[in-house]
Amino acid sequence: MPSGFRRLAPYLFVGPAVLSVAIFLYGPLFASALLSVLDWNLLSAEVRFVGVDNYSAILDNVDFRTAAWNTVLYCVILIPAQIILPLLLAVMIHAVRRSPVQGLYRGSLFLPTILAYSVAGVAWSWLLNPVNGLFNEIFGFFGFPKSRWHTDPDLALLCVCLVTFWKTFGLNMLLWLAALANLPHELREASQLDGAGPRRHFFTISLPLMTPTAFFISVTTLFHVLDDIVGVIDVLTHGGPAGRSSSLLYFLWQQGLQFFQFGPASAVAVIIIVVVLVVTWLEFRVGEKRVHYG
Amino acid sequence: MSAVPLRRSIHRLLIHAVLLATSLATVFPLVWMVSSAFTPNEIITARAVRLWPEDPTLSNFTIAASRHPIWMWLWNSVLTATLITLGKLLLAVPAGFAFGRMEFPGRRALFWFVIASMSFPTVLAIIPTYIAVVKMQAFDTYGAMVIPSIPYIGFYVFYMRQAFRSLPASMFEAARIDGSGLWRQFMEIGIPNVVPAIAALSVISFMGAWNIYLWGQLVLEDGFKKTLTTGIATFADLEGTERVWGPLMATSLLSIVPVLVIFLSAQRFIVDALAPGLDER
Amino acid sequence: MVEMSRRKFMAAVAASAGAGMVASPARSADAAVEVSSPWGSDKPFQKVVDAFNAKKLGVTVTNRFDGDYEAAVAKAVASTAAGRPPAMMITGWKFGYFAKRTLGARDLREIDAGRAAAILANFRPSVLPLVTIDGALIGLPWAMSTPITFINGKLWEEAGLDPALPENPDTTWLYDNARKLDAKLKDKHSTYRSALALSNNEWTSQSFVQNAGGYIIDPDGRLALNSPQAVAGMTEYCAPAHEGLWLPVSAKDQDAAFESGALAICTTSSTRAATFPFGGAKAVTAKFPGLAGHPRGMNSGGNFLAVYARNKEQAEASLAFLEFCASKEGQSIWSAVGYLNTSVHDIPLINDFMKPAAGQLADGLTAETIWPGKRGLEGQAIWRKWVSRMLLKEVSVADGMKSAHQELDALVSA
Repeated sequence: MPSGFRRLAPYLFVGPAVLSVAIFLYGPLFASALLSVLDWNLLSAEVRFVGVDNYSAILDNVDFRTAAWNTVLYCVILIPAQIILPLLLAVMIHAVRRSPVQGLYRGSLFLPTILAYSVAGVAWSWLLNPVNGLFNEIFGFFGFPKSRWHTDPDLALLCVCLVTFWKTFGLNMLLWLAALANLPHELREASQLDGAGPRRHFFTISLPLMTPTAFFISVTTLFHVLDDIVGVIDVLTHGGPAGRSSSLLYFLWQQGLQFFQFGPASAVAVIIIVVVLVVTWLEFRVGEKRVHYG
Repeated sequence: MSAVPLRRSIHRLLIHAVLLATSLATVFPLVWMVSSAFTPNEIITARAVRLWPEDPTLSNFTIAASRHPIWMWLWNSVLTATLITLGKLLLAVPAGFAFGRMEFPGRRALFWFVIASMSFPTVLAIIPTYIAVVKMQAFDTYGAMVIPSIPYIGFYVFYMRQAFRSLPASMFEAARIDGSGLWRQFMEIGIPNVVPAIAALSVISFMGAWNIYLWGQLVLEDGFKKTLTTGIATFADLEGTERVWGPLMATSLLSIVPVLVIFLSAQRFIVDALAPGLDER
Repeated sequence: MVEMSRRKFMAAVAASAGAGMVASPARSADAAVEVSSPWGSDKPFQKVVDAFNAKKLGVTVTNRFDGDYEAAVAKAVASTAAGRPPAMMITGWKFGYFAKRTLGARDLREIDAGRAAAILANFRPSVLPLVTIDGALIGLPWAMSTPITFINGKLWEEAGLDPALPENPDTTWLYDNARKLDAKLKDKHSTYRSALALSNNEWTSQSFVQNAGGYIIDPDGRLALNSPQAVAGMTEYCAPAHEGLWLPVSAKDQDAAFESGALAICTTSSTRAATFPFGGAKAVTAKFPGLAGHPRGMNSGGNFLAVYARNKEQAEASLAFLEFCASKEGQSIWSAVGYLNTSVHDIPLINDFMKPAAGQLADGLTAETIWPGKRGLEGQAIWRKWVSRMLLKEVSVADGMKSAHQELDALVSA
């Protein structure tokens, strides 16, 4: 084999992947930066340069600020929930792994993950309907006060959290299960001989061995959560009531694709990109101290 | 002294109880969907709570099929999800092989370039991509649905790299001594040994692509080009002058069954295959 | 040409799939016109299309269902930008300015002044202002509805309320009966859950503002949300929600609750008269409630059928379809959907439940709010947002109206 090809070969292998990511993922980020300083709506012939006007308009917008604050709340609630609860479930399933019904548990818990948002939305609006939905029927039966659920401004965000969690925890659960299944058996036996209880064993031996998985899950969860919320908001609350369950990405979606205000929408996109880059950098700074993918 | 085994079995029973309760709660929102899909459309709204279909019927499926081309939607879903999956594999498998088993200048930088794309929410790229699709006259084509959905491969590349790295170096050493080129090493030794990993990724990708909703809503216009998940959204009726719950639930059920079958038949496989992928060897 | 063959291909697929989409294959000599509409193949609009195609006038029309008004407009923006706007589209007249100024709906008179005049002679002169934007006649006043009151007859009777409904109900009467009904049935009835819903949207709230003597946009075209009358109207609108008689939910949830007998009274579009009375709720209808001591000023809503085709052949073919839609034959087929008769033809009401709506039309109806400015699409969303906030007591009505006025003012002047 000619040595020229040998040197070129790796680039032929990685080239298509790198190019497609560059064009379809990084390209739009730069395009967003460009659009964010323009006034243009897809149909108008004139394109106006407006500098930072879109940014100042967005930062002044009360709905934007609500959406930004909501996004923080969503992350604070959902990210720990999406990491820890699936781990608990995975540990329990792992504990009964020899039982014939463990596949059934795994399957039912994973089921919502394979649903489309449109289907999930229909099912949950039935459960949550404040007038005669099932939750209120059950509450009424036991004599609890009825709730307005996703139409209550103070509960809407939590309802979106609940549905998002329901819809997405399955994947992380599978990843944790995989990590647990992969732990070496000898370790468990050794620590049992040492007299370590299951809890201590878990925290001192199992968990440290799963740090690559933990790191991977925490990184992907952060960014999937942002996306997943949009789908749920779109089918459940449309950001309402009165913007109280909106998130930054949903705000972007509305501005850009319902009202065709590409400039302000792209300004939102650029702001999100900056935040995402900073958070990613921080996460890797913290994560890399403990894990090495090299 | 049976104290320890007894405590153990109580412990075990508790775990089963918790898991059973959680599983039921998780599946429960779908019970109404299934029961409504088989309940005659005229009586669905007569009661708010129905856990079992009264007077079971398949009529909702025929009503749905007479209103919307749901079989065409089913075909479109299969087609687009398959193409997206194939596209992702074609990009991610060779890249994972090179990142995992070859040394070359810029390897680390390119790897992180691809991996970092995992952190972009898909909604971020939507507006520029949408403009490009519209301006390239690709609006309302399968291509517009499929091609921009492929490059979200960060996870796939990362995972394939781990899979190839976990193979013993001696395997490739032997092949090199036999005089196999890189391409043959990839095709004849690499791929056959990571088949479970590829299968797991295919299933994950297929399920993800099957449920693409926001993007499909945006670029698929023609009623015959819609996928099941985007078609379901068009059941929303302008006037609400009729009740469509039955046919809607029937179509929703139709959209779940194929992915459910794939998942159930592959679930054991996915878990096994994911395990070595994420751990460092 | 590429377009033609694509459509023929789709028609062939439709036929072979036997999927029930009525798409008769276009005869090759025909001009093909595609209409983007909010109605699927099982609706009276499809019957109008089929009846027209059966006449074989050399024009073949296909109906393309594009979802609700908002979704259809979004798709139209994309296809217009892609250089192939729909030949015709049905749009809510609340988006009239957007259709004209942003999407470029065509002035029918500019296509053919004579034929346009003949088409519009079929409609009542009072509805023509609804389709006149910036001095241009942008379409056929195609569908018109008005909000009326639907009452679950069984629940009303079980609560022992007077079955004789007043000719012109007002809110004092309505809220009073809702309270009595609630007191009688609450926690004692298997299906009853909530007394009243006035529809949480931009439309019924506008009725209240007008019934109190106010305007959203006054006759001079100025925003008028900060007037004392508008505030009075919204105060009356929000009162039952603040009192707990009304649980504001989405339109879909509201309809489902009414149909299942959980909700006793709701005010919503008169088009529901085609189904509500015949389902489990056995609804009876009355006019929309006025405000005691004020003259009524009810509004309407609906959509217009506009032409967007740029080329002459398509535009003229579109006119041929509009001529049929305006004719007595077309209007008779169309009326089955439950819209009001906007034409001069004598067309019987589809049922007696439509009578209050016809009465409101005879009293005189204004339009729904046509949000001005090229960013008109956002106006509706902003007004809805403030309506929700006032209903949910996130702000006081007075403050809410002031803030809504400010936010909308900045938008419509854009």
